[in-house]
Amino acid sequence: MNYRTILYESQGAIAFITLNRPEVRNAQNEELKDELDLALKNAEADEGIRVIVLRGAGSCFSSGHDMKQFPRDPDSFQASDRRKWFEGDTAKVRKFVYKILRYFLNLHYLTKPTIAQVHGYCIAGGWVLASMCDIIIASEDAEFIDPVLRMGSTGVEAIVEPWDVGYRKAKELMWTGEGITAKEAWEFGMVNKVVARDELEKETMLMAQKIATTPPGTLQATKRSINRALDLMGWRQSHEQHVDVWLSNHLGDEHKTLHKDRQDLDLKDFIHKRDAGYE
Amino acid sequence: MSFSTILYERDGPVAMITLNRPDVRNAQNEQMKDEIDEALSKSDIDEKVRVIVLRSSGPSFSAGHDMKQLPRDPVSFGATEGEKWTDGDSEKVRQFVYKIFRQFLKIRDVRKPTIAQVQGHCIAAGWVLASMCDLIVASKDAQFSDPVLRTGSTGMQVLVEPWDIGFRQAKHLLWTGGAISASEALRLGLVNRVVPLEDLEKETMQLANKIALTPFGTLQATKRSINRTQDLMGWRLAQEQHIETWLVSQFSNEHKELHAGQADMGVKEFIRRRDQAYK
Repeated sequence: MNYRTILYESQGAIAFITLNRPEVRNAQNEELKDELDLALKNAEADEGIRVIVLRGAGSCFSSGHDMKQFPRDPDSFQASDRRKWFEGDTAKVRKFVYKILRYFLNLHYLTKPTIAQVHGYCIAGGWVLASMCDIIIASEDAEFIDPVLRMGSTGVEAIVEPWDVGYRKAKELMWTGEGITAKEAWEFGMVNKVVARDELEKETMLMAQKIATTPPGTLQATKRSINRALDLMGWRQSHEQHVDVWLSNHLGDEHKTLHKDRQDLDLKDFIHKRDAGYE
Repeated sequence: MSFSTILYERDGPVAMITLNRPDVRNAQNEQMKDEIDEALSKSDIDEKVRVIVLRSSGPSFSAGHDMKQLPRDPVSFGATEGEKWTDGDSEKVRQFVYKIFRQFLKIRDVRKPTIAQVQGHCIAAGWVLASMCDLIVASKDAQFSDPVLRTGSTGMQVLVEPWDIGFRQAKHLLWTGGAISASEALRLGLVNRVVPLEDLEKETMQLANKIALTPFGTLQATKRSINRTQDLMGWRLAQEQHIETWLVSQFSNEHKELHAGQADMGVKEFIRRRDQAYK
């Protein structure tokens, strides 16, 4: 299988999936999501693989959804001229958005242990991707942000923040658009280890190798059990309800007005008007 | 409506509700609870208001329920002279307690983002009041405690501690009656920010005004989504069951014996007898 937006390699029992669009800071377009989904399926099916590492090429892990190329074909949503895809046929919009949620959830529910190796920016859809992995190892320069509320979006399609940093911090981060450093993320328990930038690959490898020495059936059984404990706390249902909140907000007037301004005005004027609008 | 136990003001998009009984460290009597309730309804309806700040005058945020004036008249509950109000007609007691319970939950369910601005002592029902808010900004001198178990009460009507500081810390704190400082509260995720006392108002208003810049529907949608996530973890049902536990405990012989003759004996003698009983 040839991938264009990711790299798939393996070393011993460890599969490495690398987001490989460094020129756009690994922004996730539809193709990248599809390829990542496929690569995960391959790693899951390969009996030689016991641990999966997810990482990004270039200066950062991922800047989130690719706003330019996402979705691949906006016209297919039948939005009228110069409107965004989510203003098109609502059934198609829903289906597309639910697919993105499934793609995130698939990663979480893989039977094999996953490690996210995070450096630099880890923004919005990038944060969700890292969060869906079992373990996160971050370099000191890593920063986690979900700054999309000012653009009228209710976060990403999945709501990982209250699970990762607690609901009080989640509200603050989302409502102000501010980020947290790797060290803060470690304090909140959302990353397992913070290491120097030049040690990141080595440390991740060591962790993956160490985990791979555990009997794979036992590993997978504890993963099931811990993920079920999360589900009993409501993890899965919280994402299922959130995607509908996300959709109803995107289909609402406020978002449409905000977005129309964004198309009609240049960026500076848009930001000025946006900030003025709520003063 | 004019208020006598609180102040209600608005500055741009921010409504400020100020507990205003500094002479008794903002102990909450029935009237104050009703006025907070009324002020919240008012600010939730006022379209100019986008963020609500709950704060208080004087050295402390709140000393909790006003034990002298809550309820105003034990005899009206059917208790005989010298008895506690909870010794009265159990149905009346229930209705009264459920009302307090609903008033607390209503703060959490307000559509608009709320910020508690906390200085000094934040005790028992004071902590509950702060906890019902989405975000908490505390001054360095703030301290949180719920020291009511020694007086036979199972904490407050709403059990916020396991959610605010974690199960193990909650048990320790409740069972020993200790307090946690602002810096510990920050570490445990109970508060969002800790600032010097002289900067408390300025920092809180800055945060409120920053949040007010986010599209309003989007803000409310994320509040719904994060609160539902907490509900899926069991928050609401945990509270609904706790209020029954609280009532059962108030109606117990243990509680009755502990408080027998309390009205006549003075605090010192009550404490001496209390400590005697379990040695």
